[in-house]
Amino acid sequence: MFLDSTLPHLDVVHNVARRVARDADHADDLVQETFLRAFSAFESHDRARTRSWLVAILLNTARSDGRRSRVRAGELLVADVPEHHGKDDVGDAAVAAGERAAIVAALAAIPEEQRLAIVLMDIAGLTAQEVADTLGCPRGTVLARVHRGRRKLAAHLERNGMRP
Amino acid sequence: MIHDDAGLAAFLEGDVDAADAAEWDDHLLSCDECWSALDEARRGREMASSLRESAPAALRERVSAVFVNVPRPGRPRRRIATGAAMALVVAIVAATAIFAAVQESGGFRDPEPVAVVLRLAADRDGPTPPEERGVRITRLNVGGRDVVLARSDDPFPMPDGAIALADDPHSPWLAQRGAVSLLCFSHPDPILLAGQASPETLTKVAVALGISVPGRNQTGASGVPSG
Repeated sequence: MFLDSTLPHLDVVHNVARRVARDADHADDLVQETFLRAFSAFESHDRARTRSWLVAILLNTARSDGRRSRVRAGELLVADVPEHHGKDDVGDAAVAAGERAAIVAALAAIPEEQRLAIVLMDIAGLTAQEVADTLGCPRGTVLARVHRGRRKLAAHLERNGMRP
Repeated sequence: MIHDDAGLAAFLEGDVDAADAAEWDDHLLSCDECWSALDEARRGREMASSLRESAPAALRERVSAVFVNVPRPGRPRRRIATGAAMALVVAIVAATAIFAAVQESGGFRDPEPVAVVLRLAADRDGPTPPEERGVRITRLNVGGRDVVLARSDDPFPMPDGAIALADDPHSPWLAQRGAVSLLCFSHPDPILLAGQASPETLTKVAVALGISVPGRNQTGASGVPSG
């Protein structure tokens, strides 16, 4: 069944959408449209690659939507910080929100191909091979991009006083 | 191996075989440059992965709700009504995803597209009036304008002056009747979009509905069927 096969990958799709959409509402719309498009082609897709197939649809949807709305896929908002659902430690929440905003801003500052590799591997959790399948490029290229992107991300954040 | 970015990333991912892992271990003990690069990449990975989050429950419900009671795609359909039910669900939700102001029908503010659709349906051969042939109409409000989504058991005839979008007997076609643009698909089920909007807008609506338009298939993912 369609949902049995695809819904377990909702977190992956959601995480990619959050990093390529202009805001949270747009991300939800992209996810919705991704599943609708996937539904229409579900019977013909390779069941062994459902996760990377969904991500490929999402990225194509974001690109075509970006062309329509003139918002570039991959554009990230510094204020893109989720609500904190902790108990009552407002100070920690503020620090966490600030750190997330700093990471999002740093991510936006690195080259797009490297940023996309990081989004797909480190944030969405795809393997290098799945990213290679999704983007249609060699696995070694994906690994090199993610490596360079990670180093730039760390260097950028550490210049601004952040260190994990 | 030295300064091999892809190799270092594979090692960090644990995506190397035992022999390569041992070789990297040895190399890293004696190469400060690679050790430093690996450490920096590890920190970058840790920072990036801190952005990972779970999909909100509301999004899970929104995605799931669309497919409740929808037949499995690809299964042979005995009647158009099954596909039409799916098309209606997909139409409303997909259009909502793209156009913020889409509303389900509740009276037509603009009767002209409906009139054009019914006149076109009446041009078909057969003794029965169009309303008895199962022409089902849904209004979509796209950017404040009515766009009529008409579904039928029988194909809509291609009017004079219509332009086929592909060299195919089942090709979608575009036509203009006064201020009303028409975009029609006959395969797998007859669907006609009509509205006082540009052909470009109707094409966008079709794409939003998951209907592939020749030359305008924007999904591009493998396996997406053509119109």
